[in-house]
Amino acid sequence: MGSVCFYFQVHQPWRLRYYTIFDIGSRRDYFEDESEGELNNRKVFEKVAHKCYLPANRLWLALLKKFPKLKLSFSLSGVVLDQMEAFEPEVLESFQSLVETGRVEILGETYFHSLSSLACEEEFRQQVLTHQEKIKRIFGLAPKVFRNTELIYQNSLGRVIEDLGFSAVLVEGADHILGWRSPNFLYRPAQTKNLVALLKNYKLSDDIAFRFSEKSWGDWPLTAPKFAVWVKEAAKNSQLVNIFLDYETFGEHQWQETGIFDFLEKLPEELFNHNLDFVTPSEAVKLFEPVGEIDAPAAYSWADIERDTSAWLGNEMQRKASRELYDLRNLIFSQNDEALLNVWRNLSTSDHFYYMCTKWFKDGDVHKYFNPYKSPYEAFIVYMNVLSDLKLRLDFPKEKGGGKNGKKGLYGRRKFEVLCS
Amino acid sequence: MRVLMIGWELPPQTSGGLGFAVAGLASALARLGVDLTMILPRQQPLNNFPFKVKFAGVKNGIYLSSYQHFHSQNTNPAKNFANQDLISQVHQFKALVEKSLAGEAYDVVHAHDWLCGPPALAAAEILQKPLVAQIHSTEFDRNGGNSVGGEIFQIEKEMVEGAKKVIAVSGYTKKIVTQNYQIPEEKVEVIHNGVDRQELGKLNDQKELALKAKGKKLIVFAGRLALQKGPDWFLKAAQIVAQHDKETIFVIAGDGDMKEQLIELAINLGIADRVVFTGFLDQEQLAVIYRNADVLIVPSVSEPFGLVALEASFFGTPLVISKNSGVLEILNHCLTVDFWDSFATAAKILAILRYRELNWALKNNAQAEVANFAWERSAQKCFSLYQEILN
Repeated sequence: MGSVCFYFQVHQPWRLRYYTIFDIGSRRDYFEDESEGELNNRKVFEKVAHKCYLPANRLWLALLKKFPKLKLSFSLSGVVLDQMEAFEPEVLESFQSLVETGRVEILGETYFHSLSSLACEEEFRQQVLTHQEKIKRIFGLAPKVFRNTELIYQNSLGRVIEDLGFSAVLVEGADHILGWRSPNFLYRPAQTKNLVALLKNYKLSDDIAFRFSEKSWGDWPLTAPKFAVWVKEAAKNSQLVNIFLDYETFGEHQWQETGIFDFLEKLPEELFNHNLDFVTPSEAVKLFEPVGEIDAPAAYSWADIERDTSAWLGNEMQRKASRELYDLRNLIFSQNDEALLNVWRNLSTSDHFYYMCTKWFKDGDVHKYFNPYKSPYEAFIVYMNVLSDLKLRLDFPKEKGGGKNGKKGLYGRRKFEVLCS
Repeated sequence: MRVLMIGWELPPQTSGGLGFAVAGLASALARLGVDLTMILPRQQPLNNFPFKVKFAGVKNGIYLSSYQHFHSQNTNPAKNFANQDLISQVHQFKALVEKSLAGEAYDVVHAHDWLCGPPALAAAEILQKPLVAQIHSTEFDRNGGNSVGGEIFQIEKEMVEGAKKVIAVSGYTKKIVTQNYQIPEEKVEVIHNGVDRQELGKLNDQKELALKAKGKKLIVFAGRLALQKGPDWFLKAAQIVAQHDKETIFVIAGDGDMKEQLIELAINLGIADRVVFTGFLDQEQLAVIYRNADVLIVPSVSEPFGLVALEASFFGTPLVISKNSGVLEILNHCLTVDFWDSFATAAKILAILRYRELNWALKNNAQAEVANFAWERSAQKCFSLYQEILN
């Protein structure tokens, strides 16, 4: 007998519309692309909602009713919750229905699905707290277990997560962290006292996430009975097998036509047949003791072969954009303007930086990588132009010859300064 | 393997990219061990090539296997060609080729563009050998399809129809060939052009142009001044850029029919003082321009390939390229635009000038990428194509 822990990540960013240099100082509808393309947040959300969130939630709800011992966990970014409220409240309700079963745990994360853990501890803490408030408001729950954006983790972060009151953190079961050890146990993160880490079993997780419809894969087609046997094998003499996936795997990354929903429908039963039971991350913390320590001196993640942060901060453009963003933080706070702060925070979402990634060209693996801007350079230009406009909206504390121009006049005047900087 | 290649011109005397592309491919084929003889319509100065060159216009032909230099006053061949009746030259070329083939043996005839079409079809007929027709540009690129049914269109059509295999320099061109000349897909092979890094590497004049030294930013167009290349669109974008960045200077490097028209346009757009017309430049001079350029624009209305983009990348010039360009099938690290969207073009030029990190990334990544596009890669594919035909 062993345990299985399912966690699904739910997230959609506020994508920036095409925004040229000529738009700086003249429009502020950064997130409101109205085109038919992939930058239209409403359209993308509606598409994903109907291909993935709604059918997958319906299926899980039915399965939860059918199997009283089935348990799951989700992490929903604050940004995707905002989009559910704005575009399709029905989706939000379907998640609430899942939580109401009492067997679905909601995890904590940064509200804006940001890279703040790598840039600014204070900002990170605030985004986590803001997310907790949102989860409390929507689901009536207080998240006990934390998962960081893209499972980014390093030792220094463990202390902060522990300090924020979390009992556990989800991390990637990366080879370079585990060495010969198995991901199917709890570990204690280095430099923490009581925090425990749940490690993603990337082999089994990626079998579903990436290989499910890959016909050149030796194990294609992947069926529920086959997969259940693999999980049983992994669970043997272990504590728990952690299957961590992007929720969009169901119906969006793996289309319905691939048979992914049929697979899902049969999976719980198959797992129960092998005497496996389901645990949520919080339950795992209570049930098991950590068997060893994991040491992550440098930040790592669940992304790519590299399992590092290079997909978001690997090139000069990405680092520049990130620096520019966080350099504005104090100034943004000094404005006492909630709406402005919200815009700034929505710019901290990791996806913006991911779209600027150029490393894919080197691998010749461009197709694996989705970019609604088609080009990392376009993504960078749009982002920097928007930041330039945002700067124009700020009152600088020590304006030379202050008072000469009223607040309104500043916008026009700075337009020139910023354009020429 | 003995290949008779029929070309129109070779460096240093070229009217456009064709001569460079033919020289690049032929040299790489020769280095692969192909026994290649190039036949040209007339005597001209030549760089040092690793293949034999024969001038059809010269009595009994002359073979050249090493460097020979004919002094020429003709520094601007584009202009001369424009004034001559090309079609009659092409037919004259055909007659000369027919005469020159007596007693010669080849396995394949490989010809470039319609200029070599009639002589190539004649040669293939006489030798009873298969023809490979390589298309670098069509009437659809040059005239937007306005001359369908015209004589040049007809020559192109007969050439691709009569060929055993057609090489298109891009998927973009393949599409034009299959759709407009009714050639089956499987008959057309895409072989992208390359760059001769060794040759370009020799152009190492590090001179800083005076304008650049004074802090001006150089926005460059390089190519024939013909509608197809979109120099007028370059000026329209330039006008917008000029309004937003006072330090920009717009350089038009090249010559052609549209020169007067472009000068007039620059005046009408109110940017005559910001535009520099360099006239025809040789490779050495172009390299200096590329090195000094802040951005190179390729605003072509229709660009089968766009060698200029690879060459500028070699020298590290950030690029803004028309989406109607074959080179985009292999070059990732550049910005792309609709040639007619002057605001978008201007916005991208300004972005490159404004964001240092963007400039660096484009420069470094494109420069690294160009290393993959050696002519050897193209020649390998071409060689396989020969083998396929011969078996």
